[in-house]
Amino acid sequence: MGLLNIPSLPSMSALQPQDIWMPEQASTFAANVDWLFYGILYICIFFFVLVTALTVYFVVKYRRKSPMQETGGPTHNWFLEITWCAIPLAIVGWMWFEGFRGFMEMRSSPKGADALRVIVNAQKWSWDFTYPNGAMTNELHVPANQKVVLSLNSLDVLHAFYVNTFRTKMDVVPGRINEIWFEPTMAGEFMLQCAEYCGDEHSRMRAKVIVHEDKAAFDAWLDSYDPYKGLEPIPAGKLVFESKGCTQCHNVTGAAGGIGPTLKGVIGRDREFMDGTKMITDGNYVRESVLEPQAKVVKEPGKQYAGVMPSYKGRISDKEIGFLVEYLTEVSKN
Amino acid sequence: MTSTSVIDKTAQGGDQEPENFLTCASGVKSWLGTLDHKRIGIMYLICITFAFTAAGLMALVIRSELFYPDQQLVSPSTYNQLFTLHGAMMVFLFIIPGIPAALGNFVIPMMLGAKDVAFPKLNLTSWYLWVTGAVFFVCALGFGGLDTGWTLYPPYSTTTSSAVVLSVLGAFILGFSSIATGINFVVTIQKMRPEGMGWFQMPLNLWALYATALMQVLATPVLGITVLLLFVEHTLHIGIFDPTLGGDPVLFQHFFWFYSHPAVYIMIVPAMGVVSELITTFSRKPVFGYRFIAYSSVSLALLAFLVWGHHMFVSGQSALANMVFSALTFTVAIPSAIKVFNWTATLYKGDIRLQTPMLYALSFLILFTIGGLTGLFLAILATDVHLHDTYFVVAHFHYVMMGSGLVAFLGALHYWWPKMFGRMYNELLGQDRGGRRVHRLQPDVLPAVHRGIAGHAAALLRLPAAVHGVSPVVDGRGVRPRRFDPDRCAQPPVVAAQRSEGTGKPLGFAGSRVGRCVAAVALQLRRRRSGSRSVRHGARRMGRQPRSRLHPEREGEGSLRRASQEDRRAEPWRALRTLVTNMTATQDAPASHAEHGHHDPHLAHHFDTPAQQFDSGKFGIWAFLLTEILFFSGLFCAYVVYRYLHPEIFLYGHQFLDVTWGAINTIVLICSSLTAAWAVRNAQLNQQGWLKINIILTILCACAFMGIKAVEYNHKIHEGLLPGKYYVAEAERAARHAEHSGAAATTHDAMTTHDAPATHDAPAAEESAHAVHYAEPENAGTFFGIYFCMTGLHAFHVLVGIAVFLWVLMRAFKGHFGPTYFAAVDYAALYWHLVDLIWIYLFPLLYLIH
Repeated sequence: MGLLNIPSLPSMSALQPQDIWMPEQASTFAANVDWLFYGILYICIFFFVLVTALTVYFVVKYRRKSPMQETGGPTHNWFLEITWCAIPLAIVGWMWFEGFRGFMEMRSSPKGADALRVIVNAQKWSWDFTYPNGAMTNELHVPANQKVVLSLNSLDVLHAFYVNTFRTKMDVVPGRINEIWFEPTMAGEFMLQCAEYCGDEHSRMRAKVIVHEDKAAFDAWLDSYDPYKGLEPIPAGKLVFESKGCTQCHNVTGAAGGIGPTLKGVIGRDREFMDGTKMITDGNYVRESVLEPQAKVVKEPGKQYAGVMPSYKGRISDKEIGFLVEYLTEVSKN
Repeated sequence: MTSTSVIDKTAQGGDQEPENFLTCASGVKSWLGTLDHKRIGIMYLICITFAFTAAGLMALVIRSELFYPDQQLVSPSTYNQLFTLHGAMMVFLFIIPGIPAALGNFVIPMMLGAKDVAFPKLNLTSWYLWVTGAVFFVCALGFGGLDTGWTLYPPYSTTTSSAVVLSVLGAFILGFSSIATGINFVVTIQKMRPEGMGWFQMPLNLWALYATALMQVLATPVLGITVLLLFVEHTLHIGIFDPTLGGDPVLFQHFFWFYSHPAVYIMIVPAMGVVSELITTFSRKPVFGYRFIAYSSVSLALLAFLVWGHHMFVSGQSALANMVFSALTFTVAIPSAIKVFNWTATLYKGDIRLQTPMLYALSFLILFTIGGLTGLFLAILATDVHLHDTYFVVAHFHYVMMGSGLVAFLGALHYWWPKMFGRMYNELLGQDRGGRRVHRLQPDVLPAVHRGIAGHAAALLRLPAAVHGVSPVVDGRGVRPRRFDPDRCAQPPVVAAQRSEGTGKPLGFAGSRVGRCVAAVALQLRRRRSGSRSVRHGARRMGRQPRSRLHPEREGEGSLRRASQEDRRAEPWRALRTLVTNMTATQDAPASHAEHGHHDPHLAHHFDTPAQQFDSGKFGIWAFLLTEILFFSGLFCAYVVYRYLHPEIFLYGHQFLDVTWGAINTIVLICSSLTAAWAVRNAQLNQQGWLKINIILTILCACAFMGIKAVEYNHKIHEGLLPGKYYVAEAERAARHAEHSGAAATTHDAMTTHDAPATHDAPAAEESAHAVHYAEPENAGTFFGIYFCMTGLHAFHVLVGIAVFLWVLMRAFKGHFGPTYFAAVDYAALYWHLVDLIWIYLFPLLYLIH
């Protein structure tokens, strides 16, 4: 058999035997999906063997032995026809029901507060994950034995979130938010891959899924997670500015016409606010505007800034605000 | 040019090789201009072989690239183009036209005992459309390739820089080729059956081809409108599928799969029909459960339209929709199971000869069983979530398409090869190849099953380490050079025929099985004529013979026997004559012609009676109108979805349409419908003068409509009310007005500084005709995109209508029409009524929004 005659290649050394069939079970869905899969596989094998065996048997038995061979047998039989309609119908009815039951479990997001919610942004050709504390990573970190709800957004074309060991998949559709949930059952590293063709580097659009031992380990990781490690304050502030979505509305180039006012010169400028007060804006003004954007809204002719900006309270740390102020002070200089 | 009568001569047999449809005329022109269904079938066969070879070579490169995990034979973008074009070409250029257009064209009229398909010119047109579509695909290869996957999902397909425009135009044209074939076959099978051949006397192959043709007629128009909308989206950015413009990319998936799921059945149902023929013939007994197999073909065709949602189980579609689509998908398993079990039962107590076509048929039986069973995993929601978009789907699809569709095609080709070319292929070589189909396909496809189960997503170039498994090394083993021998192409019979040429004796038509069968029918005819033996008696004699009544070569006897046994009112004599005039001695043909108005100049050669011709034409035009309705339905559907999502855009946009002009145009069109209907009546009553006047009035009304349309379009183009990205925003329009009217510079400044109140006042003041009540929403250009799409397509239909009526007018001046022949006027009027009807829907939907 050709199957056994595989040339030995260096990259093949880590061949996992179970990967010829279903991969390892790493979420609560996996056991049910695998049970259903193998159950149906046996039913399929039964029918395949039945049809093949009958075909081979008939072909051998009724093969023409002489040109005068008599043919016979009925040309129709109601009992048989009804039987081989009814039995498959009953079987597929059961399959449908079991499949639907398993599916509903996968698609009913847990409502409880204990679920970890992570925002997933997909774009050509990378994934990023935003945690409740605002931390953003390019690897998905989740605790084992806890429900995780992902909110999937695409920033450009169609992608699909697929972790084969979790047996779950959902398209990431631009212009709508798809939700998906799972509960990992074992710690370890797994692989997330894009399953909807999305262009040249589609094959490389992968990310690690790191499942921590338990909630405590995950929280410890999340608390100590510091993307700014080793960065000087100004580059760190730039990272904050870019990673927190500020660039969607603000710029630091001084150009007009953005959704929010430009932040070039935001430090040390005399501004008038909607309530008529005036002040020279400084670092504290930036801090207030990030946490309570509606407290002091800039007045500018022809622009309506009130009520637009969302609060970043809880989504940004004091340290990050510090970096941000350093960065904005830097861009305000020139 | 046509050569239908030529084949008749060949049946007489003789020492010298008789003239047949292949040899009756030579030269490129005699082929490219032929209206003979047999020649068109062979032209299709040659062309799809080229497409198949090209797409097969692409598969070869894909498999070589996957041979080792890290190999870099081609760049990722080339790889993406290869699998896209491999899929698109195999689907649109090979499998869809494969059995129906190439082989069906050849055998359908013969199986019906008809002289040709109902519309030979349409038949040739469909071949030319196929060639044009294929040229577009080849051009797409040259102009940047296509890298979207054959599913063309937006927003990727609307933003990529590859040749999407050329490819979707190609698919559009190929769609119409498919529709033309479908209409032709539906009408042929519906209207040109010989008397005595009821629905349940038809060979199962005809049932399958009828079901296929129905799907082609009902599903393909939706593909037309889908790719047209994608084309408009790509070029004008009108935003129906683009989320950044408020559209919905999943809507495209619904549209696409509403066609493409039936398309999969268009590919497999004719293969099932062929296999039904092969198994009965080579078991030498009637098929088991004839009615069940016949009904299962039709039920597959109907169910095909109800299951498209299973392609979107993980798209975020509602759980209820998923549940319903899953249940409906499972119903497809039942007709498929019926077929497989009935074929197996047919073998029971048969007289089985394992000749080449039978080996292919048995391979089909086993491979289709695998293909069908792998489909179950994808219909089950819970397992589909894991398997969706993985190599498992690729494997399932290839088991059904390559393992079943292609194998049946090859079997059918071997089966009908002697009939087509009067030569036998090399039986030994054929058996050698046919017998290896099952196990030699496995290294190609079976590893993909395992890749999918392990979770290897489709369209992946490099394999992630976590899903290595047996790796594509095994997949790649399918690419060994010796595997690419001719039996993978549609060539073996060619090779076989060439080889047998040296030693084998050409069989000729008379020597072939067809010829013998036809001769038998002719013998019956003579007996009946001389009164020596009643047909019924003869038929009963035949009925005792253990032959397949469904074997195409014997279906003449079968229908006869059925006719005499079941339909006592039928005239077997007529059935026999129809068959005989088609297939046997020419001496019988004049007799039949003399009886049926041989002198009627309007009766085409392939119809028996003017009534049959008229009925066929009428049925054809109704089928065509149905495709038109479905085509526009797609557009209306896009309209409804977008309007539901963004009503404000429609409220804003409709203000710029002039209701007065629209209403005048509606009245003009209704009047023209009236005159068109009168023209038909005039022709029937032989009022030649009034006929011409009414046709001229219809044309004048149509021209008036187009004139008003031109005024409206001109105004909008002038104003900048254009589709999608060409739309000029309100502020800028006002600024233009200000410039044109030489308004004060202060106003102009107000515009440029985006002074909101000023921008709203200015257009109201400038455009006295339109009172603007609604603020300009985002993406207002979408309304004009939809407006120009709908009215533009309608205007195109009006233009076609004008051309058709001019042609009818010309014929009216030649005095062609009268009480006995008024078909052209009638059909033109029917078409015209539909064009009017569409406008009657368009007018309120676009002009009267409140």
